[in-house]
Amino acid sequence: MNVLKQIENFCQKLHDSADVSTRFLEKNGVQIGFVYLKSITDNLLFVEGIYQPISVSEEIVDFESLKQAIGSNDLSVVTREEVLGKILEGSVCIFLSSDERFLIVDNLKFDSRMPNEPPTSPVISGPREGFVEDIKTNISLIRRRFASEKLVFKNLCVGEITKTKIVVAYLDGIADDKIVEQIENKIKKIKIDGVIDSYYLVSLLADRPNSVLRQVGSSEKPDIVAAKMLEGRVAIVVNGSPIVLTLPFVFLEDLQSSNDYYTNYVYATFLRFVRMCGLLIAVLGPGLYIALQLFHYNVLPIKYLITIADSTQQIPFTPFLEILFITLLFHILYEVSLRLPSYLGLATSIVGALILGDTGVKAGLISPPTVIVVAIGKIALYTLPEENAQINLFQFLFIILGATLGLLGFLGGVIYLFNYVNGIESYGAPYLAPFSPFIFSDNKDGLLKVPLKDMKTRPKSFRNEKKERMS
Amino acid sequence: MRQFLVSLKKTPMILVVVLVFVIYGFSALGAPAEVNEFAIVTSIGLDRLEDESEGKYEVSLLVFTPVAELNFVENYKVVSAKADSLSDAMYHAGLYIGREVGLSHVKVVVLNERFGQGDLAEELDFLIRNIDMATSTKIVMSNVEAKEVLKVIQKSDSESSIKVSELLNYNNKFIFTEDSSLETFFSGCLGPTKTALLSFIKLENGKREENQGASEQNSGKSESDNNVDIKNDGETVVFFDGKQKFKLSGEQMKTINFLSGTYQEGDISVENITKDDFVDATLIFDIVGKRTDYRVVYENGIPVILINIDLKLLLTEIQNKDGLVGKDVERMVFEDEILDKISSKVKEYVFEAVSIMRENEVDILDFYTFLNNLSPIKFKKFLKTNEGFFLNNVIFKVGTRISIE
Amino acid sequence: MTKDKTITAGQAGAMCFFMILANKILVLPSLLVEKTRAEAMFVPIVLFLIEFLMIFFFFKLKKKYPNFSFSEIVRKSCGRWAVILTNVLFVAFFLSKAVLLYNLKSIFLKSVVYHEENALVYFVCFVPVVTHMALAGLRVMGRTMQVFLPTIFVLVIFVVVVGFTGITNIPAFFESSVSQFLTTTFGHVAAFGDSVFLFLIMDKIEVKKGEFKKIFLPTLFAAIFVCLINIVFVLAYCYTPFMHPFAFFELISFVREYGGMGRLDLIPMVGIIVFSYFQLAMYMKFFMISLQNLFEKMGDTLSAVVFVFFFLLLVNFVVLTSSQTIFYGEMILPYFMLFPFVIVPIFSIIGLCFRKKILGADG
Repeated sequence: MNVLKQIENFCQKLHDSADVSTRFLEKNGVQIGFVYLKSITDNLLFVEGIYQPISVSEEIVDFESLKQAIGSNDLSVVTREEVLGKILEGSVCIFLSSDERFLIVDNLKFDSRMPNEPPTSPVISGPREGFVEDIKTNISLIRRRFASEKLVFKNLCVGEITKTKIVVAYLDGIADDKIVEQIENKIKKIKIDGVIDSYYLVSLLADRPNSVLRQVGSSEKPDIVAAKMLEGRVAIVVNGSPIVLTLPFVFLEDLQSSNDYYTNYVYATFLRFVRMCGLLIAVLGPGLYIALQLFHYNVLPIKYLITIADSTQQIPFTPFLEILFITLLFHILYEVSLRLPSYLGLATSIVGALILGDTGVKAGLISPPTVIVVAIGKIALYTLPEENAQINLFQFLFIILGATLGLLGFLGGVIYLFNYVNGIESYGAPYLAPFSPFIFSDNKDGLLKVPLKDMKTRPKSFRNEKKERMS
Repeated sequence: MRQFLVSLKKTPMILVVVLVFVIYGFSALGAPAEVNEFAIVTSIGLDRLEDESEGKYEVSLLVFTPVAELNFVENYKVVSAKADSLSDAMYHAGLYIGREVGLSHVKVVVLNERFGQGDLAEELDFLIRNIDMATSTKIVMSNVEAKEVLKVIQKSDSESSIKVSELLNYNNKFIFTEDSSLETFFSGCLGPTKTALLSFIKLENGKREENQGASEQNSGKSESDNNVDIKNDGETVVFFDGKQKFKLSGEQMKTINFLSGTYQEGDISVENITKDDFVDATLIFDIVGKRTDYRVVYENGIPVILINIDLKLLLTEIQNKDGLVGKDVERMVFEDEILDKISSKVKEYVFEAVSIMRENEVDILDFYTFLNNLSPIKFKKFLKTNEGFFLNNVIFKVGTRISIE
Repeated sequence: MTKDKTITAGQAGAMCFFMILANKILVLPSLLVEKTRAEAMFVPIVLFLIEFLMIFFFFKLKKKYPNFSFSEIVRKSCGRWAVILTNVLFVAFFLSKAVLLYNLKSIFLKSVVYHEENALVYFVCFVPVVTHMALAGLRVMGRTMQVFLPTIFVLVIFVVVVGFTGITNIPAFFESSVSQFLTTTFGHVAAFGDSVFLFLIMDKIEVKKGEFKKIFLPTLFAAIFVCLINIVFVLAYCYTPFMHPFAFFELISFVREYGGMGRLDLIPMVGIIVFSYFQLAMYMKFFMISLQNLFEKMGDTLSAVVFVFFFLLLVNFVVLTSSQTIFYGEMILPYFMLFPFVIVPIFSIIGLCFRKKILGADG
């Protein structure tokens, strides 16, 4: 092999990118070439662990002596077709003039953040580690929690250009083999140019990809993922994403928080009921309010009618327009608060509160009851531990149904939604399990939270190999 | 386009929602709140007119009128109209307001005395056909025009009609006043006894204070009517078969209480007690617990109702002509003589109530149902052999057991 | 044939609960009381005894032939003509009940819930939701009802308890004659017999050992609630039923403003509307199943379209006033009820007797 020509070949293939680094060494009549990407390899390790041992060694004559000279265990021999991919994954490629093979040394290193507590899942007590973008760190966070041979990590690769590493993690003998196989097959069938974040896989793994509802679980916390794996779920770790996906997913997971398992069970039960109430208020509250106001005044008590009548006298908007306007304003504020720098956040909140809360009401543009109803609806949504922003869409839907068709249309929408949700199954697990179908044993960790000593079996809402978890 | 139709076929509900919004959404965007489309009526006054030149009836409505203020004050207005039928008059009253009349929040219906001259059940027919109106709406008769009563209600504190309801509920010395509703009226008229009772309220001059605060200003108070008050002293109008039969005074209603098994409160006084330091004193006791047991036996086919009244009394006042005031009553021993006097008083009340019912031939306390349900065969047999009003031949025997706390 | 997935005993129980409770608590109590006064409280008890006898036959058949459908049992015991007759009667039964239910609910919606809305709003609300429920399948429908069951259960208990607190007087009994009682009982038999649907989906219900009580208990509770609602209505409104045409809604009238908290009308309104949706969806689904039993190649979509077409036709062109509906209901429907109360039990008894003939062909 002409080493210099090969180096030139690699540089050409990599478009002479700024981070391509090459080395040439001649020893004992043997030419040695090195190619790697310095942006994603450990330069210090290259120099001290690879280049220096080779340059000082007198015995480098062939491929075997080359392998011995390098102290690393992460060595592999690859073909010409595979070598470019390996370089792009952060390996150092070494080739000799006396051999047509290529030696690959794994040397991937890049700057990554610390596994700090994720901002979306704060806890009062319990572990505060969170996943990061580096898949190796994420795997290690999971591995540390299972000192067991049952833990299996299966490597997959998705994305024709990004070649994103994906690891399917599960506990052998606990997770159902068919579910694992189903998930693996689905991932393998994915033909996409690139996967940047785990969310790319969500719609591809979901039972009903066009549905607005969440059908794939996700978490940024290794303790939550580990707990779900212990129940028989499969975790999917994607390189470059701090969000780990879990399957199968049931709606109940959105009501559960890791805090529930690190606190008194009675209090945890109370909190779950609060969350359920919050969800119902968020989704149904504004719609019911507008339906009663527009169609069913006879149901409202006299004092409340007086409040509405007095407050809507000088409002230029009709009730439907008013509630749409205020809901839209709230959404605008929400989006703004996400993107504003923190030093501007305080100013925005003051402006928002003043505009919506005070000035708007005093100016007679909006009425206080509507502001309260919409505000409570928005705030109540955030009682759910996991972000479920698509529920806002349901809020809009019920506002439209309530305003156009009244109580009949509103309740029709509720029934339709439940019916629709009941038709979704996530890898054999009914979406609303354990409420529907009613599974008594799973309700111990449903809305109720019983003490850990009473939770002796794994969930029956989806298949797993071993039902008993405690004797 | 084809792909769009295929995707619609998979989720047709989207098309439905879009169509719903297109058909109904635009009208909903422009629809006002229903409270601004209906006139909220909290009290109704019905007057049967003496001078029928402008109409036989006058309907007055106490209507809530919203005010564009942030203090959420309650502003009421009395609107009235005359016509030959009550429903017509109601319709015309609505015309003056400019909105459809909404009766779902009516609490009180006030009638003037002239309604007692006709068949009230027929005349109130239009009210019961309105499904919005609750049949638990209170209905009362007054000594003045209902319109005047509504004006007084309007000038009282906010949520005015509750005050009338509270007045009726709180007066716990008289039994039927709290249950004087459309439902009980019709239920009584159409039941086996055909007897119904309505509370009777009076408008009298009373003492009111000059300065009563902001709420009166908002209610549109007028200075000249400052001293008119609604009074309920327990007078009750008795209807038989929808027509007014007679009136019971407050004292007469009190006697009915003792016969009623449901009513538990009241007071009882015994006079001419001479004992220790009391000379000709009157002792007034409050009934703190009352239990009335009824048993029926048939003697020669005639029902004999054995009434056993257990009374728990609490001495609340001693009206003493001479002697010491503030006597230590806790150590007072109530001798048999006093207990006997109380017992005779109770029996006096009971027999007075029975005689009211017999004289007027109305079964106010529904003994018919009681006797019928206990022994239907014997009772039906008794009715066949009985002539005239059945209570005339029913024998009442009263036993009492008095304990004083 | 329908390709529905199977449902569990719990889901079948939930469907029974809604089917039995839904159409007996709105208009029926008022009609019964008008005719038989205080004895009206016994009419549902008598009719439920007959209905439970029918459910008893279902349990016996299910135990004996766990994997057979009712059509198969009838075909093997009585022949093909019996299957056709049964399914035609099922089709007519469920369609007519759907139309009757819709008419009565429309009257309620027009007079109580809405003030000015027209019938198109009710169609727009009912038809898409009910069609979706029917097309989604038995299992999904059963699950949805299971979700709503606890809430509706509590709602009904609440209404009954509140109704009881409003009773002050006991009415006079034995005012109506025995013949009046029997005539009224017969005249209102059309409101009962809905649990015949269990026969239709016999093969779709998975009942494991000891799970029959999961179907029986909700049915029993539904029957008890109907009887309690009747009792409360009789005790409260014995002499004024004409003032209270909508029983379930009126029971709460006593406490129009509860402790200053507000009006409670919304609670029975929600209950009645939910019942309407579920029952109409079930009628549509069972119509589709029986139609597909008759025409085996008919798919779900086509049978749904047929139902909607005939439903709209009958509702729009056979427009009846409430008094006409009640009149025809009392004159014609009782004879039509011979189907669930007589024909189905007869076929069941035949099926139970000819066990060898039914199982023999399959070895």
